[in-house]
Amino acid sequence: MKFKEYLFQTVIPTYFMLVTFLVLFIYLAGSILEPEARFGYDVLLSPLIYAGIGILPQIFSYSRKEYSMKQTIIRKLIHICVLISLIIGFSFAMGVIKNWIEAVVILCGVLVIYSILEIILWRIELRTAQLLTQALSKLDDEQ
Amino acid sequence: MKTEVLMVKDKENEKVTIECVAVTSEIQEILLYVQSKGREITGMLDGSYTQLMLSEIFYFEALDEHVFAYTKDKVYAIKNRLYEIEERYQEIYFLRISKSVVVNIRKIQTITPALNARYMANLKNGEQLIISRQYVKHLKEKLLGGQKNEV
Repeated sequence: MKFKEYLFQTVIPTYFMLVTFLVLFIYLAGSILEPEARFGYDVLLSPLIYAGIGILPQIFSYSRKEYSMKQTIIRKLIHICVLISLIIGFSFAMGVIKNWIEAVVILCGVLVIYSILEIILWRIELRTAQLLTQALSKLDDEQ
Repeated sequence: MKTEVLMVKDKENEKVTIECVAVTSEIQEILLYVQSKGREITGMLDGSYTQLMLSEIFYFEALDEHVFAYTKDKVYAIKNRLYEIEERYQEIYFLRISKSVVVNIRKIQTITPALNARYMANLKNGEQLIISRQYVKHLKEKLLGGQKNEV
C-alpha cells in the first residue's frame, strides 16, 4: 500500500473516529470527575489535538512491507505503548493531569478507545470477508 | 434453459454449443466455466510430463525461480512463469493473491480476515493461503464487481 493510500484509507478515517470517541470520553470522564467544571471555547480543540497525538504512532509505523502475524502483534503492542507514553506525557506537560487518579483515568480511556477502534476495524474486515465468501458460494451455485 | 447431450465417437470432436438470444452475464459465466474445464496445462511430476486440467488446480506458486501447480493432493512443476499464468488464465477464475501465488478462486471455500488488512483464503482441500493487502482490491473487484461493500 502506498503512503498516500495508507493516509487516506487508514490514517484519516482513524483520526476522525478518534475525535468522536475522545469527545465522548471527555464528556463521560468530566461528568464523573469534575461535573461542576466549566470551560471556554478552547476546550473544543482538545479532542482534535489528542487525536492528532494519538495518530502520530500510526503515521510513523507506516511500511510498504507486509509483516507476519507475529510481527504485526509485536508492532501493535509497541504502538499502544508509544501511544500511552505520548498521551500521558503530553497531558502532564500541559498540566491536564494533576494526580495519579487522573493519570489512571486517561490510561483507561486510551485503552478503551484503542480497543473500540480495533473492534470496529475488525468488524469491517469481517463483513468484507463474509461478502467475499457469499460471492464465492454464488459462483459454486452457478457451477 | 433446455439442455441436450449428443454422443460423439472421438474425443477430438467433443464440443459445447450454446444457443442463446443474447450473451448475458449468465451465458458468459457458463462460457467461462466450459472454457476452464476444457483447458489443460503441462506439468511435471517425478520426471514425467502430465496434462493437467486447469479446473483441478487449486493454485500456482512461484518458489526460487520455479513455478508449481498444486492439485488436491499432488504438486507439479510448471514451465511457465507466474505472470504468464496470471495473464493467460485470469479470465477463467485464476487470480493473483500475493507476490508468489495465483489461486483458482473456484477452489476457495471461505475467506476470513487476517491481521493488518490482509485476508486468509481457506481452500476446499483444507489449505490456507494469505491474500496480501496489495491484492485484496483485485479480489474484491473480481468477486463483488460493482457491488458496494463496507470498505
